[in-house]
Amino acid sequence: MGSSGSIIDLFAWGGDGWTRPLLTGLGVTMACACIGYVLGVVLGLAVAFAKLGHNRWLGAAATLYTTLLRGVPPLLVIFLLFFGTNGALMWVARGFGYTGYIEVDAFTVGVMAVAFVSAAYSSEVFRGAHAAIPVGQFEAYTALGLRPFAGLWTVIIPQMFRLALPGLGNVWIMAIKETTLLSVISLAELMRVVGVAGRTTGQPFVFYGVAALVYLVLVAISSRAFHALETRMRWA
Amino acid sequence: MQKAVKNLLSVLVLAAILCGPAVAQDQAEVRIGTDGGYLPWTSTSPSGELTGFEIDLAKQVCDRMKRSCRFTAQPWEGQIPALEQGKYDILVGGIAITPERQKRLAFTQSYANLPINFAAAKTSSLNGKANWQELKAALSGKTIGVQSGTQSQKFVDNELKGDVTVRLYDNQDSLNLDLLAGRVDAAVAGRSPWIALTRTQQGEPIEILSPNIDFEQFNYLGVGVGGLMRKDEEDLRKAWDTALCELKASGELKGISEKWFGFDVSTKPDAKVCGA
Amino acid sequence: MDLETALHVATELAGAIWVTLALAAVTLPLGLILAGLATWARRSRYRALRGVASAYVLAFRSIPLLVQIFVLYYGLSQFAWLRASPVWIVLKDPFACAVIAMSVCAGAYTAEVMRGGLAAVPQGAIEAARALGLSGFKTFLLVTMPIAIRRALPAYSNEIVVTLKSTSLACTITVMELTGVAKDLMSQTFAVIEVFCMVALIYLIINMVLIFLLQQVERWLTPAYQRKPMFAGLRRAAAKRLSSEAVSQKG
Repeated sequence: MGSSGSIIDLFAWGGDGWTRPLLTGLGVTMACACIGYVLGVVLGLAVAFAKLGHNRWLGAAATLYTTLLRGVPPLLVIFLLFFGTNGALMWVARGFGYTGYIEVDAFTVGVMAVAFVSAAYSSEVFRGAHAAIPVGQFEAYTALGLRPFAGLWTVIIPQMFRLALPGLGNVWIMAIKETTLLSVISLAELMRVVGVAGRTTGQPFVFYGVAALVYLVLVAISSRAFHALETRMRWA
Repeated sequence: MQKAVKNLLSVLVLAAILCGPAVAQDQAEVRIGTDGGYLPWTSTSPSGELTGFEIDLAKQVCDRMKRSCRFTAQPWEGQIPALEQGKYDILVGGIAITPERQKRLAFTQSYANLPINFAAAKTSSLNGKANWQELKAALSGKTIGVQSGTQSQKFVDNELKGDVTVRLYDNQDSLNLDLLAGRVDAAVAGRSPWIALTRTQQGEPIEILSPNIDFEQFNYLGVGVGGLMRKDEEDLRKAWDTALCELKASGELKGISEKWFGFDVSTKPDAKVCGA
Repeated sequence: MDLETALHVATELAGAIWVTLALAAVTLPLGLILAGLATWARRSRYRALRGVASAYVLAFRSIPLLVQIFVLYYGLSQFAWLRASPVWIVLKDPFACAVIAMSVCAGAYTAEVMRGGLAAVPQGAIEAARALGLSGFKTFLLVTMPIAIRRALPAYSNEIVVTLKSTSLACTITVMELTGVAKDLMSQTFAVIEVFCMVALIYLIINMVLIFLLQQVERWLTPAYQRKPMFAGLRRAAAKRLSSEAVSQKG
């Protein structure tokens, strides 16, 4: 737990240096954000259509879902999933006659938390995108003789993605930021590794500073990438 | 577009496989849950390997029981539910034996007993109190840090509630940082983290306060530290206890204790378990 | 959940509501002041000032709030010279640290909201005011600002919800607000769902009250001829129901 040593020693590659653990942490962060985000966007699309559809109960459930997930702190959602998922899953499994132990680890909880929150926000983005599609497009696929589902899948949803791109970019950045909260349930993502490194070396400022820079760069790259994607989509 | 959809679907399937709940492994292995962040009891090295007093002890016990053991580190808060639900067969990690826990779960015999101690800056006026009453009087109005969910928190709740401002921490390391920074006037924990802290260069300005808060005076704190298991695991408990009896009798437990704590924390063989 | 546990949970949460409200009540005005300063600086004549303000907004919107809180709370406490300085009186206190970090972050986000509001002010309105002989300051005070505020309010109400939610992060530095207490209750009582529902309901109610208050401000800032009747949606629904009933009675 020595606090001496230069910055170079702190960030040495092998031995007691922290670069390797930090990179591993970054890997966990990215894996969790990516998987959670993709699942969230798909779920968000489903929630958006539940709201747009004609089934009143489905619509009400979708509205309740987005109101809840957008109105409570993500940290509270994480605690719910962390303390609640195991019990809930086992309860369901008992119903099917399975009595063994089912484990949900911190990574899975993290992915679920990112997915559920991203879904709530992206569903709103999709709903906006759906509203922005000209009525003519709906009439056009009907005129072409496409069934509603096929029309939705080939005509409407691709256009929705294009229109939703800026909003989806924001949801992605939110997903990256949300992963930092997973350090509280001891998922060994970047924030957790940085915390451990800071505490054991007695240099928390240096390590949290590094984390700040890394997230700054991640967000900068992400928004550039989404801008580039938007430009390409516009011309396509 | 078709291809993009296919790609998307395959990513989803992959994600579903990756995220799928892991199902517990076979029973032959003894699955040991531990804290992994509570020196010198257990600790995790930068490479992710578990070390510490209880890791060494549990390895010795496993050798004597002739069973293979697998260690998993998990934060203390989730450990008891995970044990009850069958993720682990036994928990070791400085867990105090208390009547409350004994209602629902079973303990091995105790293998270590350490008092609770307050720690504060060497320059603090809290130093050098002869007994608990004096220290308690001196603590009045101060800000005290303690790790949540520990025996120390229970002690603070029972003995000091209302007299002091209590700050709760998720882990001992954060508590150490705030004690060093002076955000709390004093901090409470089992004696061992204070020994670990005061040995480091950073912990130089910190002193362990007298008196020791011992388990005999405040008997709700328990009779020491033991391995925690489900009540239905009677066979494992007997095997573990027998191995502990042997390790205590041979002096090996004392050796491991001195290696990690620098002094003997081990308890005497439990007459009810090991015989006279 | 038995009655005793429910009572325990309720009393614990009741105490924590005030901590959450206090955090939000101090953070929101401070954030607004910082955002005002940043907006002013971003419109300044001096390039350096504009650069600093833009960098502030960009950085604090990009770095996750938890990182900002930890840099301030655990990071800065590493330096002995800082602990010896008068600044420490403030930084020593976890509540103050949480408020500072959240205000600085909220300031950056709110500055973006303000920029959006200002961009939505029609150029014609400003030109008209100048043509009427109003000074630059008076134009800003009497024309630009009221329009900008009105345009920015919907986005700002969103920002308020974000800030309220971000107060939950204070529990990571020992401030026991709603989410922190909820976590303790979940791990103690194992009544996970019940605790979650109660806390979620509290957050949603606070959100609703804040948004309603802001809508009143928006209404008050809107000229009378542009105002929509309060509860427009409800009234329309009632009218529709009445007319449909009338139709069914006829048939």
